[in-house]
Amino acid sequence: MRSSWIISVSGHAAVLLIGLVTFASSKSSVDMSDFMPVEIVTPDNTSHATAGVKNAPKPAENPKPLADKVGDPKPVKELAPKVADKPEIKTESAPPADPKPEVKPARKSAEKAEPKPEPKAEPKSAEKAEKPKDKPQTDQIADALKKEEAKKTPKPEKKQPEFKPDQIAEALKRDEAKKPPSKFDANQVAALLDHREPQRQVATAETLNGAASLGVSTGHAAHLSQSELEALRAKLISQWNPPTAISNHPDQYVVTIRVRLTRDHRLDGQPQVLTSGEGPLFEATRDSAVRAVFQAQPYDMLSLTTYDQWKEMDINFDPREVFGG
Amino acid sequence: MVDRRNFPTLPLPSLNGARVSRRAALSFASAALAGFVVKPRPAAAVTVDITQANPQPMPIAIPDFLGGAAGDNETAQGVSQIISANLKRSGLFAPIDPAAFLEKISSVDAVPHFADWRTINAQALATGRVTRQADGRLKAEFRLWDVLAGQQLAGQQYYTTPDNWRRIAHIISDAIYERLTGEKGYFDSRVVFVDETGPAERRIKRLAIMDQDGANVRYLTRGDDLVLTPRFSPSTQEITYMAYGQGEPRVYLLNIETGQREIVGNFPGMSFAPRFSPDGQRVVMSLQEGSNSNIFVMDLRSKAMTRLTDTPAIDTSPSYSPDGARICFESDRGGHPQIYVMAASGGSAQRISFGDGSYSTPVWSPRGDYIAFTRQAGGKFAIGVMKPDGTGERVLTEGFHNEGPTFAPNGRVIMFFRDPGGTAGPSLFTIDIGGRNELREPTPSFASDPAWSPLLS
Repeated sequence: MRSSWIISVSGHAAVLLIGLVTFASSKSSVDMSDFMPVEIVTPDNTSHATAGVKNAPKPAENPKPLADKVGDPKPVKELAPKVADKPEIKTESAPPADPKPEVKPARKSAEKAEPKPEPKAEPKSAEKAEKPKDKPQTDQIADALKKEEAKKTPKPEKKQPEFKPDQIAEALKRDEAKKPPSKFDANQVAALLDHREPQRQVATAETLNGAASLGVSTGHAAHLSQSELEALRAKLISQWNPPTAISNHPDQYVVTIRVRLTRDHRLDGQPQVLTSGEGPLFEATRDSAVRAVFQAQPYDMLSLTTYDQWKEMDINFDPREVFGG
Repeated sequence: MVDRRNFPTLPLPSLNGARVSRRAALSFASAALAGFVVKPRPAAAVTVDITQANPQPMPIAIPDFLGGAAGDNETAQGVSQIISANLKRSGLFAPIDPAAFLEKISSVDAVPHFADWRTINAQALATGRVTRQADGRLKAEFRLWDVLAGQQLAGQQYYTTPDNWRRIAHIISDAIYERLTGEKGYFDSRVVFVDETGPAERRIKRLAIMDQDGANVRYLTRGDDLVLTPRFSPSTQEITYMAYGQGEPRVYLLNIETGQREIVGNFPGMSFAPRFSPDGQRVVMSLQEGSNSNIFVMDLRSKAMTRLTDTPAIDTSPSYSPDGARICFESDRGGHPQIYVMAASGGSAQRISFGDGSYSTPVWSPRGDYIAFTRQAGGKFAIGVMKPDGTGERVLTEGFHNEGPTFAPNGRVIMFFRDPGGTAGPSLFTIDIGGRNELREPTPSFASDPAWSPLLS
């Protein structure tokens, strides 16, 4: 009896032990960190990635409409009711201190490209008055759209105040395609849109991306191609001769140089050293970076079509990898 | 001695040299003022990271220095030639052949025509003038220019006696080296070594001293005694060395200027492998104790002797760290000779070398970052360096017989001696601590056991 107990206990213990060892070893043989998700990215993708900076203004601060012209001008058969005919109603959000007495012809205000926070005469602004704070983010197109929606489906509370003008334009298109023919005529929308043309400029790439956008600082601006950047790097690397004396502490000698370039690919004025430091080693390192920037002229690997992207650049000369730090 | 004065940036009103228009002068002024202003600014649209480099000798133009008077031209040219040779030997600079120069420097007080120097790919330009003063002294001036940025990087005036003109050239070389590389130079320094003449079986060995470039050789002993392992004191006026006079080897102190010589201590057995402490107040050495040897330190003022190791092994070749806190030495306590590090007060030692073969003659860099050594393995002798914790070991040169490394004062270059064997004798070589730029050091005859001095100024 006792021996069977001993056999049983020791047998179970052996099984447990083997199991532990087996599972432990089999677990260690699979290194999950070896698996990485891989996404194929073409050079084109990276070339057109939009760069950003950390301290860029928030998008809300830049209410410039990003919508382009929607649709081609078409003959207008029937214009939408002129908003000028509507009575002017001040909204609750109207700042009392900003009377802005100039009452433009309503049609003109409806066509205004840049939505401004000041109150304007709005047709059917009763529903608008319910949400006065949304106003700066809407524009006349949105109003027109809402107007049409209100006509068709009496659901005034279904509003999307965070609509951007271009989203609205898309929504407008969607609606047009979705809706069966009704008393709303797509041509009317087209007419509305078309009438913006005289005052709204067609947005160019520069206009669209002129302001720094929110993002990581390591990104690159749109349209400066990867091959251009690589050629630029290669040129600067070939000209950079940092002092070997920094090899013991290369991390202390990262130097950033700001360069401005002319359209003929040369330095526009002296390079600016953005890194502060002192001591002979810092000076020698700094000067080596400045020399590299001078020596790398002309920067003819950069295409003139992207001049706006490279007319000013910050170049980080980072010796950590050079000296195996 | 040498007087040094700052030779400040050119005053702008005088910038009306033959080739400098007022406009150029103004742009120079604005460049100097606005060039390196540091201001916090928002990042530019494009940021480029440069994480690799292309280390290469920097092209530098050193036109002949001007003579203040007709009689000074020879000296002035000699100064610029020494500077050029020094910088070239360092391996960090590539002096440009003067035949390629476009601008002829006619005044050291005019801003050079930078475009002419850029055309020949110069990155730096050193101009200067040597003038004999009314009082008989020599005045040497130089300016160092950044050709690309169009700026003066350094400017100095020195006054000295005419026979010191070579030193002036070395001092200017150091100033240029330091401004462009960011670390102290090593040109204004000397080397003491053992000069060897005569046939192999009756070799005469004399202590000799020379400038680091091989000039101004002077003999310190007559060759009656066999001399070995000379070492500089930090004061540069004294050396310590080992000599076989009558009988057993002894450690001596020798004043280079006065020629005065004294025995360090009076011990029953052999004393050898002496080396100064960084403050010059002590000498650390080995004393024979039966078949073993141990390391002792002697205070030069009190002559008090302190034992640092006590092992039944051969402990020798001690060398202080530059802060004086530690000592590296060679010991065969583990079987083969290896390198150990201990506190300067003695106590337990930590082995730092673990490679094949045996390690000997460790010497601590004046910068503190490396220990150089001789390593014998597979019938070859290599000179190498490792960090004081034993990591980063690398062999700089290897061959039939290399031995006796000594660091330049800035720790960037090592001098050693190489003996090809046979009837030929040893000679001195330099190599940088990266293992590049191996050069033979000029000596009048065979030479061994070099020891590099600290900077003279």
